[in-house]
Amino acid sequence: MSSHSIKAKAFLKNEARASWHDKALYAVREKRDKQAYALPEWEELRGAASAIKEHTLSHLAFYLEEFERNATANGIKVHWAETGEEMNDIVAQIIAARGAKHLVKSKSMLAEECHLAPYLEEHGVEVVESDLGERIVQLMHCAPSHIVLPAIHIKREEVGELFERELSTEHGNSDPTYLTHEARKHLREKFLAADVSMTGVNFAIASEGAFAVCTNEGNADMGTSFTDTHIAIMGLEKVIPDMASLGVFTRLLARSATGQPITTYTSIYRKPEEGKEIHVIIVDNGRTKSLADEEHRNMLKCMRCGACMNTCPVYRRTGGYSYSYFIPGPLGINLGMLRSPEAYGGNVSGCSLCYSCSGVCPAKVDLAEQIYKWRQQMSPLGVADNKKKLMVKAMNLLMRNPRLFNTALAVVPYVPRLIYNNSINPWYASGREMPHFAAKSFRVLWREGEVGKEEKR
Amino acid sequence: MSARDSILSRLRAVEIAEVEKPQLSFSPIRYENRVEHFADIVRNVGGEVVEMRDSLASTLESLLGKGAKLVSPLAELQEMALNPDSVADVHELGGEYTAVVEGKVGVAENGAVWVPVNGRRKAHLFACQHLVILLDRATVVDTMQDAMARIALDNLAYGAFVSGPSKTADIEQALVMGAHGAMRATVILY
Amino acid sequence: MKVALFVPCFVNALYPEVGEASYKLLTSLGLDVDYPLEQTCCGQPMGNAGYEKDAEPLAERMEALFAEYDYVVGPSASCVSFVREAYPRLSHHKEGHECLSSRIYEICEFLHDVVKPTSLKARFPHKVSIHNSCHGVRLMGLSAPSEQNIPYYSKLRNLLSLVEGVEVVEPERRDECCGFGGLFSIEESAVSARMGHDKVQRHIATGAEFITGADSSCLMHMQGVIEREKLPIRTKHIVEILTAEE
Repeated sequence: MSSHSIKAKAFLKNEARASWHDKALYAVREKRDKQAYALPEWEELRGAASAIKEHTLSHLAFYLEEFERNATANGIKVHWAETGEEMNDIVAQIIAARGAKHLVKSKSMLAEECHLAPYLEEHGVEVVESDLGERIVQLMHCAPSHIVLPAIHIKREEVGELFERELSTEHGNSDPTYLTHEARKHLREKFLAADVSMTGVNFAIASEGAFAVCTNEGNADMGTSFTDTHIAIMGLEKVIPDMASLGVFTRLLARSATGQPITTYTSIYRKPEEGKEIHVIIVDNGRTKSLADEEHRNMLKCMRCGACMNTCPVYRRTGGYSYSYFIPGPLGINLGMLRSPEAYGGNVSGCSLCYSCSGVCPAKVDLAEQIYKWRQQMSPLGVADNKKKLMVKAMNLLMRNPRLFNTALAVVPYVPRLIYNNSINPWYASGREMPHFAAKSFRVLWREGEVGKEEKR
Repeated sequence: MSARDSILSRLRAVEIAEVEKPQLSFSPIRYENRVEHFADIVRNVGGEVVEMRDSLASTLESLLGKGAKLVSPLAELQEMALNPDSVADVHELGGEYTAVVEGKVGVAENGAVWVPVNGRRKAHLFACQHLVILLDRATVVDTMQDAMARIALDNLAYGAFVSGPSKTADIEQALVMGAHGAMRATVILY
Repeated sequence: MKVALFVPCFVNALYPEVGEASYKLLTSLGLDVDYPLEQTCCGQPMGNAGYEKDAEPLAERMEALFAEYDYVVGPSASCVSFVREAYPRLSHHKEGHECLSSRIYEICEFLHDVVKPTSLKARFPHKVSIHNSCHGVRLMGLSAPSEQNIPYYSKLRNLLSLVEGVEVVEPERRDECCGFGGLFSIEESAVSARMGHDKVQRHIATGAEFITGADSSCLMHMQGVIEREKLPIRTKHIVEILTAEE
């Protein structure tokens, strides 16, 4: 059994929780639909976003250099990192050079990808996640279960208990407004005490040497407002040509992600404020390899909105932790395989090939089609499930030999149902009766002249 | 070779068919009553919209009551408000007050207002309890695409599109205003 | 025009009545319908499981069996869409014949887009809930996918409107997956069954007596849930309703 199927089964044991998780995320999908339906040009916008990304990917070196040149001219210090380790190192050096100890950061999937926070903590830096959901999972010592809604799997009562323990909130109070405002006070202190801030980069605008950061909470900007050093980290696929492109992407991002017309704050950082510094670290960490992979290059068009997760019927019912890669859902299945088929091949089964993810993606990433392609690679890569291989072999034997197939069909109606309709059969065991074999197959009926007999009469 | 050069040379070595830059030839949505739509969306995202009265001071007074603590870079408020650029230490802007700023472009499709920051500091935009944005109704455009065509970053350090108050739904998807930034956001249209 | 009936392996074995109704439907519209013997499987299960290459001999047999026909029509959207998508990569079709992928149709699509009947001799005085199958909707375009902002349409609904007495509804989450997914239903059996359960519940919530659709595999999956949980609804392939004479 695949790693995903094992964990999915465990998650589904708690039926009520699985329902709750499914409903919470489907509600986000519905909010997204409402926004998409409100714009007559929605599909053209998606087409434009996809085309801009494809254009940019085919000129990636050009746009990265343009961004670097303009950002440098604006007074931003641009760094490059081949790997996650290199990025972590650069961050640690910037922090150490300023004798800083307290980093306040906003959400960045790249930081998760490169295990930045644990690395910095090892180097004696306090890392405070400032996005509320990220802060909750940080205090719980667990990982985000969704890229946009990191704490979507946690119930309010659990947050109440956590905050009572960590922030001394009132016993038994799990009102989200109360808890959010208590977190606000707690994090306000952290913002004012921080000496370095970190943000991700949603879009790096080559023509301007500027970059956009989108949040609802304002946490990225709080961090950068009260610290003198701002470190922004970006995967190299985050670059876009110009402001007109930003106009397209900012119309799609929040609508797709949370069903809002835009995030509360779409901040454009162009140059450091007087007396301050901004560092941008451009990170590869496998991305140039993905670019060279024609079948999976499209993954670099992703803008990390999470819409594919919210619509995925498997993710919604199995939770983020059933996937072994830190990003779950269709996106995580694909990115995990690009990272390491050996480590993350166990997620590829977690897809019914419904293609809904490909339909919601604002950049038209063909997520489902790529999962199909990865499945074809499982056996050549040596990470295929042996049981499944056997099942396919058996099917091949039967289906390539019509005589054998027809003989089997003649015999199987006489086989007692109990032999296959029992709990050894996973189909049956998981809650379905086996279908009933017809006494005579269509082929037999046809040969016996039974088909269309009535009409012929 | 530096990381930079090796990344760039690897990118250049990738064989990839050239894709032309798309002409954004589709027509974005046009709202019949743009300003009204803008105001509706600001309210939908948790903000308020009020009309300017005879003066800014009287509008603020009716909105906030007398004696509200104000932080603003606007020249006309220098007598009533603390100028954020005048504080020696930015941490002085960490407390509770109302910030009054000027918006340059309003966006009907999402209730966002483009707020460029020309001064030294931007902390007041986020740390305030209440954010008040002045906006000329003539600047309201339909979409972000239209807005991008209007704004010039020029020599700006920073600017933000702000749509309503700070918010989060990270606890069970329950929407709460005032996550870190403004608990309340008001657009004053003139 | 020469029309061949493609009856997928599991329909042949489990639902011969679907094959019969397909034949009846096509001949009632004046078409000359043949059924080449020795059909087995199109290869979709192998493809979805990650062994598309294993479907090569099956694709070649399909090409040979159906080489002489202008149209090949089958009552299964997902099998037909597999032939369409994968066969151009897989099969070496005979000289002088277009690849099967360009001549194969799902039966509702064939009726709706090619035959275009304006009436059917069918009566089915029941409330039915349409099962919009993933491959039917998102790969074949039998209806507007809920993800996209395009005008609503449903070829199945249009065809059902020709049936006397039938009341047609669609469930909440109108095209969410039922969880079958071929070998997914075995490999990820827990989530597959859960998806099936949820889907059937939404069909029941419409008050319909029947779940109908263009994919026997989804119907088979949901029927398994219905029988296990003894639920008050049944599945019926759409061709059986389009030929019903109740």
